[in-house]
Amino acid sequence: MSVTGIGSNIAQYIPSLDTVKKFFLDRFKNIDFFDETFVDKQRENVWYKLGALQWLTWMVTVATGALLVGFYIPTAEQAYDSIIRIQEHVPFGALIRGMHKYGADAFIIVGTLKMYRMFICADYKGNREFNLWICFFLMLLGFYSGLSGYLLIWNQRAFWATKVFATFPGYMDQFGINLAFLGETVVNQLIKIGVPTSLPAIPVSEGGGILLDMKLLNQYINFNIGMTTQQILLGGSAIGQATITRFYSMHMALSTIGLIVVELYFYSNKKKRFNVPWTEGFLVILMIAAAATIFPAEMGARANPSVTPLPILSDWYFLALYQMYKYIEPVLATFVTVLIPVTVLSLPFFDTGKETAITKRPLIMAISIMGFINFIVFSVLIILNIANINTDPPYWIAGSTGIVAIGVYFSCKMRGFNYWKLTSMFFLFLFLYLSRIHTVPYFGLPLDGVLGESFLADGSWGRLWIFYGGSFLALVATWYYEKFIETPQLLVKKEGTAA
Amino acid sequence: MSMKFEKRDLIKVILSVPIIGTISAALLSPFVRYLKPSSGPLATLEIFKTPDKPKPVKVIKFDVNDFPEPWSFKYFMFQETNREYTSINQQIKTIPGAAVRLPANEADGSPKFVVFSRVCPHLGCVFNFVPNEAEVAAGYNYTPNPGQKVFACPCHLSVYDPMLEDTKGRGKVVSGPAPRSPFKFNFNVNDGMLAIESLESGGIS
Repeated sequence: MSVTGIGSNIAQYIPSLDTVKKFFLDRFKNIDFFDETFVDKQRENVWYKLGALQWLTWMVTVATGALLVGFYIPTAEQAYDSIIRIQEHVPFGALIRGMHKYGADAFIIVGTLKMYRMFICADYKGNREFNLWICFFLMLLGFYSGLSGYLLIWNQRAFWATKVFATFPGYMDQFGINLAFLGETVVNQLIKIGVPTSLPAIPVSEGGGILLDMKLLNQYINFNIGMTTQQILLGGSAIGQATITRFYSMHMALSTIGLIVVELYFYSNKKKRFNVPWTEGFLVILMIAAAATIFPAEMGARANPSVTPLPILSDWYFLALYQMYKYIEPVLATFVTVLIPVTVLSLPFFDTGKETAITKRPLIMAISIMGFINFIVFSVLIILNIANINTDPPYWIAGSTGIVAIGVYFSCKMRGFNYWKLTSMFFLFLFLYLSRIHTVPYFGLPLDGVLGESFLADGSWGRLWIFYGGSFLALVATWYYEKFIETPQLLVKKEGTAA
Repeated sequence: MSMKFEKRDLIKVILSVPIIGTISAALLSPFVRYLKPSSGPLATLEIFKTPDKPKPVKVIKFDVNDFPEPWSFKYFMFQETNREYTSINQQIKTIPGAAVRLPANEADGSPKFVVFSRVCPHLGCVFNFVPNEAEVAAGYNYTPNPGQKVFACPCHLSVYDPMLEDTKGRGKVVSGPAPRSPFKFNFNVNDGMLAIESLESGGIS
């Protein structure tokens, strides 16, 4: 049978159903929740015990959480008082609450370390990409439980952290206009030039547009999805009783659902959940209990919706993100917040070589180092309340992209410049940063007069052209290089395989 | 010879999209309505266009003489009813606001005001009117021009100038990450009274 017409062109790009099925079956065979398939590796590499510890710390939070439920009152009026009662009057209440908190912190720490181990030791190779996804979703469970659990205390830090967290999904409503349709600036310029509008009555500021009917598009493409997410999340358009109820139920429901999935998995394959000697497990539990005794979990002041605490902080694992929100305009910041998990989840599929040593995978190494440095530096900066939003961003953007660029360079070198798609993606995001960032990207050099404030000002034509033009040029250049200039390394490789 | 994809299959795929879409939207609708009870039947089609809007509880009034000179200001708490998805169904929320008298009109000398919600349009912190220029320069990464009075947010260092305008009205962002000028109260000045009536919708409180 021959393939005809449009079908023949598309056919080569669409995988058959069998290929898709095989892709998933291969990966489901290798699923691993808590390193139970790496038992033999534990003897030579102690980091393979992290999976077991992840399970253990999760169980510690579940057990102590089940005890805390007996005393906690989930109402806006009584939540804070009930926790004071647990902390001060219930025998061992402070210990149980402390272990719940530090157990959750330990879960996040262990999960982070395990994630880094997966990247460094290339655990995702050999059709094991989904294991990284499982670890990541466990981390997300930890993050969400941490965030929702924090609000239940109903103190100042919790209230305002929730407010910031709940505000930024609203910016998703602007993704369409700002990223896909060239931005309001372009639309304004077009109006100035005199391009006729399809709906002249609607001003650009309210989504009215030109050529494309932006108001209509915005409704049908974005669907106010950010606003809806907020209202479903908070149970209304304000943080109140409904928010506590919803956070409280989700706080427990997510853990319970996760637990059921994990138990079904272990029931079906009869593997052991905890593959470390129990003496070591007790040591970890003792460490958590000791932390809870020496540093009792803090209470903070009761939530006050009309006074913002200063500096505004959140759980320690979100601090770096908070610092980023100071630097970047919120639409882009929300975009980056979504981009980080997507990057982590898709990186294994980019790393397709057979090498497992981290030194032979420079791109993964560079991205790991970049992420770690950014996390530490941003966290320290926000704790010390240092932020110069006018002069800092060029330095950290250049630093971050520089580290990744080094990785891309060595990657290309090792693979005979066969990485052009990745290179283009990298340049695309570099230019995205440079074009949409608030400050002028020239490191405090006195170039204002030379480059022109108006040309490179926030949201100006110049920035947008840097983004769209720059990324297009990078794509064309790398495509050209790939297509027409064959590199010596590739030739050597081909000769080698032929011989 | 491996044959994978025919024209006929392409048509099938294209036809199946609206059918699957309709079925999933219909199945999703009750679920969304349960989570967001204010939406009507066929929530998946309608919900996305009708965010719940808060309603003002009562008008706040100030005597204009309380603002004796340019840049005198008053903070106030404005009450709004918010829809809340509990058995109580609604909650009353207080929104911090600020009324500032601007330098007088050149033409007739009558007092001009701006009345802002102090909830930052960036990420919802409460910001302040900071008339002290040295304080702004020291704490908010922004050096005001002589005589320039600004609102400034302590969280992410956005600075708003009530004398300048952007597309949403007064309070242009002169520094920091905020995407727009503050949310404004609708107000009018009658018989020497400044009456603050309602709040521009948007954001969460």
